[in-house]
Amino acid sequence: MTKINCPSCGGEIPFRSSTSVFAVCPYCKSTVVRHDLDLELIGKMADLPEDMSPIQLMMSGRYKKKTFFVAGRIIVKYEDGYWNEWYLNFDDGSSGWLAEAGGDLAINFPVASGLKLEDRTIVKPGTNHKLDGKTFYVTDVKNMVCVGSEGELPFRGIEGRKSLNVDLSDRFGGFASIEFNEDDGVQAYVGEYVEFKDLNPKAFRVFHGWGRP
Amino acid sequence: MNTRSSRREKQIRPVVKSFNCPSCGATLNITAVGRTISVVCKSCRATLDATDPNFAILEHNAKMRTVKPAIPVGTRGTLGGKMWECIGFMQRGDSYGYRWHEYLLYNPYHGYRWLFEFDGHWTWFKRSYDLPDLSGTDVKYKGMSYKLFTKGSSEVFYVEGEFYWRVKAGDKSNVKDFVAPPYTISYEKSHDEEIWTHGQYLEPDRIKTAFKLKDNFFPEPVGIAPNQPSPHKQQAKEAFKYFFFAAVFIIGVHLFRSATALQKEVFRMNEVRVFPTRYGERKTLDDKVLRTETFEILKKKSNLQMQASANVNNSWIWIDPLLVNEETGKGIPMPVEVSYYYGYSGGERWSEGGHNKSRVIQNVPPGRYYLSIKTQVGGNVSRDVNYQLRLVQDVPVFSNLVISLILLLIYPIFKLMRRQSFEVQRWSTSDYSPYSED
Repeated sequence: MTKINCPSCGGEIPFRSSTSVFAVCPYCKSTVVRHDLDLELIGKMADLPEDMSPIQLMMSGRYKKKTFFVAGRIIVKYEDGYWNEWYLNFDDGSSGWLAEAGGDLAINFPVASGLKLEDRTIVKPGTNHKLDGKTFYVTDVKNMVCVGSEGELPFRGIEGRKSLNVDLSDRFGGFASIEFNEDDGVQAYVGEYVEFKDLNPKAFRVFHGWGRP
Repeated sequence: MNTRSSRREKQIRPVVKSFNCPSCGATLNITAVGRTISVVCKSCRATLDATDPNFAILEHNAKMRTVKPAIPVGTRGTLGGKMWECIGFMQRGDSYGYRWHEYLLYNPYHGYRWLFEFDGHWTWFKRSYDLPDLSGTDVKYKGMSYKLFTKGSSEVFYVEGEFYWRVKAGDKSNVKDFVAPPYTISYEKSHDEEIWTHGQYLEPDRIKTAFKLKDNFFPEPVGIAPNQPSPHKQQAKEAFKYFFFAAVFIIGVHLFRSATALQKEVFRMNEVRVFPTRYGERKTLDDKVLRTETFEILKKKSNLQMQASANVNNSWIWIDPLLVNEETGKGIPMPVEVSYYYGYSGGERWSEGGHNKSRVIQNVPPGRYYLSIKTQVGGNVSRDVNYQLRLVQDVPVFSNLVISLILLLIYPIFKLMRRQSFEVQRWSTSDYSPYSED
C-alpha cells in the first residue's frame, strides 16, 4: 500500500490498489489523480447521497476462493434512480466490480469485447452479443452520469462523468455490462448475480433490527 | 399490544430518513434510503420524487379511491428466516375487472421481494436473474416448463408507500403469467423495460403468521389459484405408488400359489358319447344320467376345477354334473356349456365359442365323491358328440389376480380423476387452458 499526502489538507490518502489512478481524500473530500508518487489535485467531491447499502469501503469478502476488499465506489444516476458500482480489489492483484442496483447485486470482471465507441448504436435491447465466449442478451440500455465517488478508482470518477451503460443477461444467472465512455473508451464486464451473504462479507455496514445478512 | 412492547418495536425500527410532504406538510419516512425513487404521501396521496432534495410532487392523487392493504405499509415480518418490511402496496387490475394486490418487501441486506395476492391466494416473487427460454410454446426456466396462463395489460389503481421506480396511478404495462404449480414466472413490460420475476405459492396462513395479521382484513382464499399446488397431485402419485407395491405383492402371492399349487387330477373321464336328443322323443332325463365311479378328494380345503371339452361343431353340449359326497349325499352342481359355431358371411370367416370350457368351485371339503352327470346336446347335430371331463384339485386361479388388481385400481383412478378436475377448474379462468374444447 502506498500512502501519499493530500495536496490540499496534507492527510494521508491510501492507495491500496496498484491499478487505482484516482482517489477521494477521506478527510477533505479533495479529488486527486495519481502520477506515480505525485498527486494532482483536480477538485472536490460533494457530499454523497445517503443510501442504505450494506456495502461500505474496506468491507472484505470472498468470491470463488479469492479474498477481496472494497477499495472504492462510484454512484451513478440514470433517469429512474441511482446505482452503486463498488470497486473490488482481490488478493491476487486482480480487480472487479460489484454492481448494486435496486437491491440486486452482480459481481463482474473486465473482459475484452472488441467493441468500439461507434458500436453503441448496434447494442440494442433484445440483441445478443458474445462476451467471454458466452452469449448474452441485452436487457437494458441507459444513459448514466456519475454523481459522486469515494475511495480509489481505476478511472477519474468525477461528478458529471457521462456514459452509456448496457446491461446483459443469459439463461444461467450470468450478468454482463458494457460501458461506452467518450474519454475511457469501451469496457465490457462479465460476471454473475450474487446474494450478499454468498460474498462472505466482513466489516459490512450493520443495520440494527434487520437481522443478519 | 402494550406500551412497553410498542416502545421496543419503535426502537428496533430506526427511521432512516424523515421529511415533510411538500403538498400537505405531513411527516413522512423513507426506509430504503438511496434506493427509493418515489414515495406516496400517506395523508394526501401525492406522489413525491425521492431523488429530489425538495421531494418534488410528481402527481396529485387526491381522487384515488382508497384500498386497504391486508399487510399495512410499515409492517415487518419474518419469512424464510429473513426479516422483511412491507414498504409499498399497489392495487392493480385489468380491463375485465380483475383486481389484485402487490406488496413490496424490503430488507437492506437482501433487497426486494414481492408478495402478490389475488382472491386470497399469495405468491412470493423474486426478480429472476436468468432469462427464460422463449423459443417454444412453453417457457423454459431452469430446466422446468411453464405454461402460459394469462396475457394482457394491467393498470395501477392505487399506490401507497415507497418504490424503487417512478410509480403512478394509471400506469399501464403488459403482463404475461406462466405457471408450473407451485411456481410461476411473470413477465412485465412497461416503457422500455422488461422484467421477469419468479414466484412460488405461499399458504395464506404463512403470511398471516409472518406479519401477525388479524382476521379482519385478511382475505379468505377463493377458488383455485393459477399456481396453487394441487393436493390431489401428490395423493394420486402416492395412490399409484401404493397400488404398484400392492400389485407387486399380489402378483408375487399369485406366482407363489401357482408354483406351490397341487394341481392334482382327481378324476378323469374320456370319450363319453352322447346321442342327439330330438324333440318329441319320449325319453326321461333320468335315462341320460351317468353315475361315475367314486374318487377321493384329499384332506385339504381347496378349490376344484372342472375341465370339459367336446367335439362340438356348430352345436352345443350342456354338461350338468352333480358332485355328490358319498357319505353325506350332498351334491354341488357344476354345469357347463361347451359350444362352437363358425361360418362364412359378409365375405368374412367367423367363429364363436370353443371346444374347451372350465369352471372352478371353491372350498370343496375332503371326502369321497362321485359325479352324477346329465347331458343334453343341440344345434346342428348330425352325429354323436364326444366329451371329456377332468377334475383337478387345487389350481391357481388367474381371474382372482385380475379382479384384485382391478379393485386395487379403483382408488388411484378416483384420485386421478380428482386431480384432473382440479386442473380443469384451475385452468377454467385461463384463455390458454389445455383442457378447453377448442
